[in-house]
Amino acid sequence: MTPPANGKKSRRVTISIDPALEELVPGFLENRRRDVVALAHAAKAGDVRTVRLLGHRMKGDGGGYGFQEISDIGEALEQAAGRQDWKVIVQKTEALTAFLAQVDVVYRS
Amino acid sequence: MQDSCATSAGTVVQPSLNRISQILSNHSDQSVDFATDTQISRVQPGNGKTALVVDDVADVTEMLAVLLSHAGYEVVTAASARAALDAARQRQFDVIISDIGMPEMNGYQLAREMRTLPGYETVPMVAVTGYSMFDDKERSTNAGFNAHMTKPIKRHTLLEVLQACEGYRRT
Repeated sequence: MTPPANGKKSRRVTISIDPALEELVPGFLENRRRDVVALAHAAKAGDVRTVRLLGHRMKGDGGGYGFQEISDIGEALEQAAGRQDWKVIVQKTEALTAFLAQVDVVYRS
Repeated sequence: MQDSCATSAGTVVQPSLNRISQILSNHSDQSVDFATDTQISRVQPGNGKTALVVDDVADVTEMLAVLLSHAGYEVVTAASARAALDAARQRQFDVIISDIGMPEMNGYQLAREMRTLPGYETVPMVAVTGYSMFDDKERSTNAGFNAHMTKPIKRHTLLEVLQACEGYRRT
């Protein structure tokens, strides 16, 4: 594996997921990558409603799939949207980006 | 905890709450509440029964559909309350699992309308919600739901709730 350009080792996060969901997980994670793009656009446009909606959905969906960290980020986004705290919104969007880049999934009952 | 309770219709029933208490104690991280005017019997979930899953978020309906299919249910999904009512008019489902916070027509409205459909007066209905503004269990019960779960939904909790719901019949 090629090391990151900044010389730092990439931290990997391994998550165990219910094998029944194996078929759905790649699509779920791809949808969250789309959410990152949508959040970036929302932050740029000051669109707090979209941030709240996406955060809420992540909060509800992430843990159900087995990604509690996505639920936690979603909850923080939803709350930050309520306060219009753009600093936290950007931080959590970056945290989601990092998580999606670092996560490795294993399917285990 | 009550040993019996009076329903809105004035009927006194004897709820079997031991099973519910067991589920709650086993899943302290998952909020689950049951209507108390129900009777519960232990039957394996699934076994070819049909489930209608209602949520406006495809990631949720797909996940629940897969989990329920693995548990032996035949699953139909609906992306809105209106679509769910249309599906329920076309065929009889054994259990309904519905989100509350949906656009146009929410889960409470769906439950009320569903209860007026022939054949759906007593079908078990489970509410699931992630919105704190919809986290009103009494309102779910009054609308016609038998149980109320808070997202994220855990597989084992859902299946245990459905297992408890098999045989549910609201009075």
